[in-house]
Amino acid sequence: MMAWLRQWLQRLRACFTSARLDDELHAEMATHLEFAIEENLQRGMNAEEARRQALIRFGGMEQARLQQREVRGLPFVDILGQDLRYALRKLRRDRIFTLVTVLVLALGIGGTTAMFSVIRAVLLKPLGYRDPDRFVLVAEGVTPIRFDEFLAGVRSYTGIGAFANGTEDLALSGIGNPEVLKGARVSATFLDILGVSPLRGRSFLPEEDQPGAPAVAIISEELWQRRFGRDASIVGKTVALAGMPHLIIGVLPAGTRFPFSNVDVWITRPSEWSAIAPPGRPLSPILSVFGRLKPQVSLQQATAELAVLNRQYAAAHPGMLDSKPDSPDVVRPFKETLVADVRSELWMLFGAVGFVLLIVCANVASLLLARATSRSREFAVRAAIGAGRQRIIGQLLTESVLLAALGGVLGAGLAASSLGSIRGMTFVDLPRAGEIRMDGTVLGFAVVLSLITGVLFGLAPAFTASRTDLAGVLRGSGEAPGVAGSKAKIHFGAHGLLVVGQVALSVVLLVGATLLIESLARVYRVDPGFQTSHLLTMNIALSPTRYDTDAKRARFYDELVQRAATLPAVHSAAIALTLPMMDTWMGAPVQLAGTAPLKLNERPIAVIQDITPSYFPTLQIALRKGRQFSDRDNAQSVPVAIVNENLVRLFWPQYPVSPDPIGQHILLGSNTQPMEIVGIAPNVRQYGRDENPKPEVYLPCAQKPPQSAMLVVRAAGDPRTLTSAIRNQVLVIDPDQPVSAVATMDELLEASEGQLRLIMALVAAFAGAATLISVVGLYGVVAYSVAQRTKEMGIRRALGAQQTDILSLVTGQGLRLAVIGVFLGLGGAFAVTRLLQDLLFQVSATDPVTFLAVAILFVIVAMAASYIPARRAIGIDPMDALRIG
Amino acid sequence: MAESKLDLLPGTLDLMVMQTLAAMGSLHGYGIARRIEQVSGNAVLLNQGTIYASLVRLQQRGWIAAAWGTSDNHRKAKFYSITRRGRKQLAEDAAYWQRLSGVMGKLLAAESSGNR
Repeated sequence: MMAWLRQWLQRLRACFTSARLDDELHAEMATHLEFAIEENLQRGMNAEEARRQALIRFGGMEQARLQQREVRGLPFVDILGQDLRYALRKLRRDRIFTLVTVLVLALGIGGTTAMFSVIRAVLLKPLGYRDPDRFVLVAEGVTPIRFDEFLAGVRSYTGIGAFANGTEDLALSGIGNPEVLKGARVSATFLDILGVSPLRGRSFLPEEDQPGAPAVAIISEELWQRRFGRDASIVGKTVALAGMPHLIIGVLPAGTRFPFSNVDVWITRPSEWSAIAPPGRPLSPILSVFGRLKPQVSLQQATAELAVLNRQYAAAHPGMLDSKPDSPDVVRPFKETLVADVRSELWMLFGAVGFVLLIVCANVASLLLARATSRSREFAVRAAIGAGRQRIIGQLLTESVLLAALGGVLGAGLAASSLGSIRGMTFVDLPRAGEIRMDGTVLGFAVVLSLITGVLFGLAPAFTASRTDLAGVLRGSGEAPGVAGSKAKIHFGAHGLLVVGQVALSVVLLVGATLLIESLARVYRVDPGFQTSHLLTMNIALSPTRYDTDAKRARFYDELVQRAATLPAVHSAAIALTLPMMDTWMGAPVQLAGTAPLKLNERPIAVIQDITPSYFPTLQIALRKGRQFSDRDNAQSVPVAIVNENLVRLFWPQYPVSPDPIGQHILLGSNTQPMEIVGIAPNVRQYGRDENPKPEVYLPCAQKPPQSAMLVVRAAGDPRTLTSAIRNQVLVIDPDQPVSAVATMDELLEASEGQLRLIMALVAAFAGAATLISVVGLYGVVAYSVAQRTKEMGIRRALGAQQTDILSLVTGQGLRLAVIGVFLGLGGAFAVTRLLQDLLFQVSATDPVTFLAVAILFVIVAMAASYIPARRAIGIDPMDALRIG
Repeated sequence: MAESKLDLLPGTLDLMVMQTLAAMGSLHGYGIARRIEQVSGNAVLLNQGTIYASLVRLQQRGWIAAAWGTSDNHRKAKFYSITRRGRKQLAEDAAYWQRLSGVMGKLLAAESSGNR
């Protein structure tokens, strides 16, 4: 064993000292011969004979040298070096071929690598928390009452907590410009459950979760950096958040994306989420419950426990909104819930880019195949002087892997440079986007991918080329394998297979892209229900301490609307709780007044909108019936409501025939005072044009002014230019009042379609590239076969074949490949487009029109691609062609 | 027609080289080749050049050592000698060959008597 190891080490060393060893051997052999000659002379031979005999006995100096080299070194390393040098020389000579191939490969490898880096960061890499698999999301939409009972009943967790289901707008005031921070309300125990330690300071204490405990806050490292310049004495300082002094007790390390990304401030008491008015809080399903499983407890066991607790809770509180005895709640690892929205889309895109890479491989393989045929003489010569089949295959594989490596280097560069823009795509909500980077794993992926790619596209050409008919080629009549041109039908062999594969994959991508484009076009055709252009929107979050009464809030909103509306270039302004195209909305259970009261969880949920009277004119929504709100609808007057048509249909299915909903009354949530319906509004697409409208109830802002609301302004010109003027009006009313989330309605609209748009753009780009590559591939193979069959064409012409015969023969062959590919592709598309189903809008994943259109389009393009070489075939002069042979 | 020379079985040349060095002490390549030819009564088909592959292999395994020196007739030559590890290996290989040739001898004798 030791001897073997020593020998291999020595052999490795010999590779590097080859020249010296050769010199020594040379000297040694020279001495050897001298000894032999001397001995022969002593035996009485003459000088010439002595030398001849000595050489005979030695048996070939060169063989001895080679033999020793093979024994002492690592022959395959030498061979690899030789092959590499030869491959480099060859590739440098065929510059255009090398350039095109490397570029195509770089696109394929680069795209796949970039997608992989996204998938790795978002889906594969464990969260940066301790033991992330044990860190679970238990249930969503939980009322504080249920959470308290849950806490008392569970046994499966080492720690359990809750967070409020949305961020809280916290105005930071008192230092510099007022700014709205993104706050998260979490249980005091959340850091223990996460397994994260503060960068500075401490975690929350359990008693800080109690109502009335002193207000404390933990801030993010980003905020610490941005607003406090990494002030070392930050812990212990008091800042005003939402008008209330908060003691800063800690700083969390950057990248703590819990429970949402980009949280600036964490505060305690999740059930006191300010988005809900205090009386409604215990009854509102505003909490998400998370926890850390005990080591021996499985997800199934925890889920089973949850089901038992749900049934107990439902039995005890039959009327609660979250009282669902048959709730399908499942305990899931937190990471899964974080990426649930994008998982299938990302894998789908990875698959799509993988298709492109496969097409690239097939295309390059087909290029190499053609090249190998034109190099058949070279291989025949090499075989004739003793190169084995393995050597020729090895040489060709070296060339293809070298090509792939060059493509891989360029591709990795492309991928790395694209990552910045991927991270910066704010219009799609990609969780963990900040973690996307080029690290060792991604680079390793690129390297392995390049190697596999190189072998994949190099294997078929290498084997084909090594099977060259030696004697035939050297005689000059050798036909390349796979192009037996004797029969009327051309057998494209490997070429044909590769082209069919490319066409099939392209068709799959094309069908997918077309379905997505159609969906997007249909989304754009949807009327959102209001006039979206020239609208500026922004968020105003009023401090719960300084604006602690309805009257104060109502006065602020009233004054702001009046001031904004009087600005030049402003048509009108309005306040609303939320605006269409925003992700967030408030809902409440609704029922008709005067009918038997239903349990809360049996009533339909309606979207609640608190609006000022100018809301409908500002958005240019025309009421169907009834009247608008007016200034007389205020805290002192009777409660009134405007409802949308979807809500009307809930209670009066025969609307608009009879009876008239105007003047009827509804009950909202646990509120017992009926509200009179005074108007009916058309349905508005609230959350994007591809989402169906929900039932909606509009309430006068003056009767229920929210703590945080949206200001919407209709501008005469570019709404963006109004931003600072409006911000100034806010500061005139209250110098401590920040505004945030400034955006035009067009931007909100675009963002609501961002994901579909991005995926559509990517798939369309992939499909476009794939189609281009495969059509070029088809063109290449037909052109190649025409070139190979010049003589045959000449004979056909000489025997009286018409131009149209030749034309249909050649295009027919290209078409045959294309049609086979298209059929295979349609089959593939039928199998995989259903993965797109969730993304599609008003289009079936197997829409026959789309399938047919793509097929026809591709066949037409294929015909055009084969027509060009066919023209060339017609142009062949029979005499010239025959003379070549 | 003279009896044809014996082709070397793989591995046998290494053994011959080590045995030669064990018996003769330090020798150069030509000396080793000549010695093998003489001892075998010129019955072995040996291209003298092939000995250098064997020598480098044995050297890399650490069974023989080499040093440049001067021969009797004042020529610079590379002299080989067997190492301690080489002697151990030689003993093992020699025993193996003796057993093998014994077995082969018996087997062939039995075969030829069976044929009669």
